[in-house]
Formats: sequence, C-alpha cells, structure tokens
Amino acid sequence: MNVELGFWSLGAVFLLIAWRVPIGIALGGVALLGIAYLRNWKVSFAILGTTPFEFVAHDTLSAIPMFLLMGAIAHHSGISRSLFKAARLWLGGIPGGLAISTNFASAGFAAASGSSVATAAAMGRIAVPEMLRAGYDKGLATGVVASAGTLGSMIPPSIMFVLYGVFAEVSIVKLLIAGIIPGLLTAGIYALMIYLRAIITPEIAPRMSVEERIGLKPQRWSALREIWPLLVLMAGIIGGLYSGVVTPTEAGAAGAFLALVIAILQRRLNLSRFMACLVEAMVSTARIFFVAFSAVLYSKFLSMTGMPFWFGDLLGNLDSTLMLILATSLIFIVLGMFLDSLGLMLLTLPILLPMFESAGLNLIWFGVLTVKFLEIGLLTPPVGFNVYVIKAAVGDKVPLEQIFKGVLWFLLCELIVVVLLVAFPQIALWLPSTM
Amino acid sequence: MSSALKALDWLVVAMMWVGCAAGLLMMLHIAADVFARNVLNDPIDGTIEIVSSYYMVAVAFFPLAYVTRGEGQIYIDLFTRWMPRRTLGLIDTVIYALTTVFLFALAWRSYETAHGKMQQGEVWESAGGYLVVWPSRYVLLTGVLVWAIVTLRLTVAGLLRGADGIDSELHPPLPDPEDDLPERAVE
Repeated sequence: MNVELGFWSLGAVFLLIAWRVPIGIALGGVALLGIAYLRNWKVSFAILGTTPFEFVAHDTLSAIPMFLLMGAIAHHSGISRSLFKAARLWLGGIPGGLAISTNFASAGFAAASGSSVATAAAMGRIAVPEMLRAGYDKGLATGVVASAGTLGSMIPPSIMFVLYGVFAEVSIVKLLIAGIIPGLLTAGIYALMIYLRAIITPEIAPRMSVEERIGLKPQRWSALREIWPLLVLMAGIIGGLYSGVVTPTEAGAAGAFLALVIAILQRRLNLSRFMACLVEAMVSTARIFFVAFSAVLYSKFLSMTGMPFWFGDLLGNLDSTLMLILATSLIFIVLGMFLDSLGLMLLTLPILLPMFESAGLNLIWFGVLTVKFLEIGLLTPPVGFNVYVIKAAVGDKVPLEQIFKGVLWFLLCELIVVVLLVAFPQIALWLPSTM
Repeated sequence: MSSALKALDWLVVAMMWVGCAAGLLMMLHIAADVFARNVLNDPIDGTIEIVSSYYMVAVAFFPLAYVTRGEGQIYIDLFTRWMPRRTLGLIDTVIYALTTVFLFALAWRSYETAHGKMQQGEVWESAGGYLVVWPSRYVLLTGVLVWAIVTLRLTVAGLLRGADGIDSELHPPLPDPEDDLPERAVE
C-alpha cells in the first residue's frame, strides 16, 4: 500500500492546478509519473497508450456531445428568450415576478440544456437587463440567473449525470430521471424565497402597476405558441427515457435533430448559426473529454496506491451514515470554492465512490447529492463559475461582490434542499423506483 | 517557415470542422436509427459500434488543437490572476513546454498502439459481422500529434517573445452568433 503517495499526488494535482496548469494535464501528468514510480515506465506508458481510446470509444458517453448540441440549438434558436418572454407574461405580475419568471424560464431551458454554465449564459443576457430596467435589486437580478442556471445540471438532460453514471457504473437513465424532482423542488424553493423576499422588502423587486399587469394578459397565449413545440419535445424525450424506449444517447441525438427541425420550421436558425452550434458543442465535448480521460488515468493510479480502499476501511469503522455525508459535504463545499465542477467531480469520485459503496449507500442518491454539491460549488466564491458567467454578461453594471451577495439567499435555499435530500432520499429515488 | 505555420493553422481549423462533421453525422445516424427501430421496426445495424469507434473519437480528439489555440483547455486562474503579464508569460511557457512533453509521450504511445492494432487488423463484432476499428486509432493519433505541435509552437513563441509571443499565436474563438442575432428571429 502506498496511501501516502496518493495523498502527495493529490497535493501535487492541486498545486499544479493553482499554477494554472490545465486540469487535464495536471491529472494526466501526475498519473503518468505516479504509475511509473509505483510500477515502472513500461506500465505507465502502456496505460497512457490505451486509456484515452478505451474511454472515449464508448457509446454511453456519446450522450454528452448530443446533449450539448441540443442545448446549443435551443440557445441559438432563441428559445431562451421566448421562454423568458412567456414566463414574464404569465408570472411577471406577482411580487418578485420577473425574478420568478427568470427562475422558471431557466428550469424550462434546463430541460433542453445539459449544462449549468450554458443555462446561466443563455439566460444572463436576456433576463438581467430586463430586471435592472424594472428597478430590481442588482444582487437579486444577477443572483437568480446565476443560481437558477445550476438547474441545467439537475434537470435532465445533464452532462454531469452522464459522467457520474460512467464513473460510478450505475444506470444513467435512472440518474437522469432521479434529477427531475430535486430540480423542480429547487426551482420551487427558489421561487418561494423570491416571493417572500419581494413581499417583505418590496423595494428589491418593484411590482408592476395594475395597468401593466392587465397589459400582460392578451399576449399570454401567443407567447406559449412559440415555445410549446420545444417543451412538448423535451417532455417527450424525458418520457422516452422514463419508459425505456430510448437510451440517453438516442434521446440526445433525436432531441437535437428534432430541436433543429423545429428551429428551422420556426425560421429561428440559419446555416451559420447552426454551424456555430456545432462548433460550440463539439469544442466543449473535446474539452470535457480531455479532463475526463485524464481523470481516468489518475483514478487508475490512485487505485494502485490503495488510497480509495484505505478511505473505505476508515469509513467502515465509522458507522454513522450522517457523518459520512457531512464529511462528503465538507469536501465538496471546500473544494467547490476553488475547482470547476467537472474537475471537482472527476477528482473526488475515485475516492468517494468506494466509501459510499462500502457503506452500502444508494449510488443514484449519492449521484443526485454529488450534482447538488457541484451546483453549490458553481455559486460559492472565489471560483463560482456561474457567477463569473453572469459577470461577463452584465459587464460593469454590477460588481462581482454584489452578485456573490445576491447568490447568498439562493445558497440558503440550496442548504434546505440538501437537508431535505439527505433526510428524505425518496425525493430523488421515488421516480426511478417506479421505472 | 511561414508557409508551414500557415499550413498548420489551416490543418487545425480543418480538423475542428471534421470533428464537427462527425458530431453532425453522429446526430443524423442515431436519429435515423431511432426512427428506423421504432417506426419501421428495422434498426440500422452497427450504429452503436460506428458511433463509439469513429464519431466519438473524431469528436473528442480532432478539435483539441483548435481548443488550445483558441479559448484554451479548462484551467483555474484564481491564484495567478494578480501576477504581472511578464510572469504569466513565463509560467504559461513552462506549462506549454510540460504539456508538449506529455502530448508527445501520448502521441508516441498512441502510435505504438495504433500500429499494433493495425497489424492485428483490429475489428469489433457488430450485428453479426465485423467492423474494422483500427483506422480510428490513427484518428486519435492525428488529433494528439497536431495538438502537440500547436503546444510546441506556443512554447517556442513564449521562449522567444514571452507573453507577447504567446498572445500573437493564440487565435480568438469564432464570434458568438448570439451577438448578431436579429431581433425579428427571436422575438
């Protein structure tokens, strides 16, 4: 056993990442040297020569480019704008209406997009200016977009669930379905919090005048006309996954294809914008896969050190599940402050999964918790990626600190969701158990 | 020299587009298979194997050089953000040099594997027949090799001219078409 070496390697990876070494290079490089040290260069090079192909040439992972393409088509065809418009017409009149509309429009967009950052980016440029124009508090206006964007990873499709499923060797379909209720629950709790805050402190979200509210009504049904084809498609895809008619890859490819057809029929997408969708999706795929196959190399090295088993044994002596979950939450929250969600998940899973397996915990439930923690990591300073995405979208209008401050309220909601998920695992597990 | 660099630029962009074409074909192929299986009750043989062994490999490895030359691989700049540009140029040069070593090692090993698989005539069993898979090993090799050459070029640029040299070799990614989205199309 070389558990100590495992710890040193983790330190080395963090150090390299802190010195702006790309995460994939840090993981792959440390793995290569580590395996050579533990065994020899021959073994190390042999693993290097076969792992990338073996990992990538995998039909399950093909859901990732397809989900990304579906999200890109939905975004570039302007569906995010139409969703916000419809949500605003239906919900804009209630206290905190524009922020609640943004929240539910993000949840709707999350059903077409597999990525939190993409969801936040899609909504950022549309919803924030509208809220600022209406005199909303800057923290609330930006915080809601950054936070509701995280629904992109929880509500299917989800890139993170696909990667988790591959690493944990659990059913990706069940994971995707397991994310539905926690995702909707999060959106519901966000909406409730915004509503209550807007009632208690009306100046943070000035309410529309009676005339304005009346003015919304006539356009409501026409706004739905623009978005219903895509919403029906997304519901159909989730239904197809649930009933087992299609695999996640097939759902992604058929979804992307049909979203393309809808966008063309609605004259929302031309050739140049479709090409941009393709580039965006495939370039993101390549970036994700590079980190992912390097993480596979690193987890092969870690298992050679015996570190995951050492942690498993350590936890075998702890008989409190709650302690395990608390420790895991702490690890995710602390590391989530510094690492991006992909790196965080791929770095921690090789260590955490054996622990949860040996404790006999449900890995689908752990998957939902993991994605929840990754979402929280997207919002916590100093490296909260979604906050930076919103900052990039709003420019100098809102300082970074104010966005982080606005996000605090949503983090409080996340805490409630995590407690509920831990106390009632059925929130995540009920829907997949009916499949 | 400059025509060789131009050829490299062209190759990097061309490979990115081949990766995109593979993504497009993947979507069409799988969607056609879903339709054929569920509507015509006659699935397209070998879809999973072709997707896994060809489209996926092209999608994953062909755009990597383009990524490095454009927006860059995923990294964290939290702890180095405050550093002067000159120091960052130095750090980036060292990182590009290390990356180049790693990628040439990966390319060399990928070549050994690809060559071995070609000699074996690697095939996958698919729908009662066999699918020749070994050429896809060379797809990976090409992607990694061109990527390694791009990082080598960035290393040399950094060594010769520091941060200025690196910046002059980096190309901004394609503009976001959202910026020129006509209002009519989205309202």
